[in-house]
Amino acid sequence: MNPDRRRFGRHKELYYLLFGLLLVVWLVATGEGLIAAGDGIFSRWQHRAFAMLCHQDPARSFWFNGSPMAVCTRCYGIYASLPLAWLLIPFAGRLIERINVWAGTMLLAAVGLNILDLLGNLLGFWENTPASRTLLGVAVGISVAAFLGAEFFLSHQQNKEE
Amino acid sequence: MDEMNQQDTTGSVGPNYWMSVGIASLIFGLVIFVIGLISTYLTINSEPSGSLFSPVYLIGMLNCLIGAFGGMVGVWHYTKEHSISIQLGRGALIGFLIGVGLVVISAVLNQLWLVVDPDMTQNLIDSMIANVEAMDLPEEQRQAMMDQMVESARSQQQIGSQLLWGIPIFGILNLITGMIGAKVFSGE
Repeated sequence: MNPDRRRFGRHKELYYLLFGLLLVVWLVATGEGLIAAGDGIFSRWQHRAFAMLCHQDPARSFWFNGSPMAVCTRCYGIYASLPLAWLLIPFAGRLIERINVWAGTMLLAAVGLNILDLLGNLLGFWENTPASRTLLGVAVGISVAAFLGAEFFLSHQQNKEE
Repeated sequence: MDEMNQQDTTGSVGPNYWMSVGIASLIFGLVIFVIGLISTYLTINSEPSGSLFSPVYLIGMLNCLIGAFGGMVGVWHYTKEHSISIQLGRGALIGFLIGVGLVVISAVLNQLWLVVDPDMTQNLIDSMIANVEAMDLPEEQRQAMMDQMVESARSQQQIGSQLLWGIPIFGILNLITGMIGAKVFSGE
C-alpha cells in the first residue's frame, strides 16, 4: 500500500456508532408510511420525535405510503443524505483529503444558504420548491460528512507507523 | 473549580466536563423554552390567516438551529476553559450529554409554566383550529390537519412525551455538533 495515502481506521467505533444512529434517525424521519405508529404514547411517535425541531407542515413535506413524513422536505434532505454520505466516508479518502481544507467553509455556506432561502421565501423575494428545499438540505448533510470525514482517517505519520 | 480528572472512552485523561455540560444545557434549555413560549403566545394572539407558513414558524425553526448547536458551544466552553485539545469521541460525549440536559431543562420549565398559565395548551389548540378553519382546503384534509395539530400540541406539553422523544433526537444532533466543535476548537 502506498504509505502516502491516508487510510480509514481512526475513531472506528465512533464512526460505526454514528452510522447506526444516523440510519435510525433517517428511518424515523421517513414517518408512519414506513413504520406504522402505535397507540397511546406511541401514537404518531415519529412526528413527536421531531416536533421540537421541525414545523412538520404536511404541505411542505414528502408523503410516503399515504402519510406525510415526520419532517419537512428540507430536514428530510439533511437526514437522508447524512447517513448515505457517512457510508461513503471510508471509500472517499482521497476526495476527503482534497476538500478537507475548505470543508468548514462548505458547511458554513450550506447552512447560510438554507437560512437565506428560508428568509427569502418568507419575505416574498422568491418561492422555493420541494426540490430546491431538499437539495439545500442535502447540501448540509453532505457538508457535515465531508467536514468530519477526515477525522476518521489515520494521519500520514500513523499510516507509516502501522 | 474542581479540576478532578476523568478517563474517557479512548483511555486518555482529561479535565471534568460536567461544568461545561451543565452551563450549555442550562443556557440552551432556557433559550429553547423561551423561543417555544414566544412561538406559542404569538400563535395564540394572532388572527387566523389561513396560512401555515408565518413568522411564528420561523421562530419555531430557530429551535432547530439553536437546539442543535448546544453541543458545539459546550465543547467550545470546555476547550477554552481548560485550554486543551480534545478527541472527537469526547466532543461527541459532551454534545450528547448537552442534548439530554437541554431537553430535560426545557421540559421541566415547560411544566412549571403550565402552573403559571394552565390554559395555554387549550388556547393554543383553539387558535390553531381557527387558523386551519380559515384555510382553503377540502374538508377531509382540513379535519386530518386539525387532528394532527391538536394531538401534536397536546403531546408537546406532556413531560413524558417531551423526554421520551426529545432526548434521542436532540442527543444525536448535539452529538454531531459536539464532534464538529471538537474539530473546530481543538484543531485535531
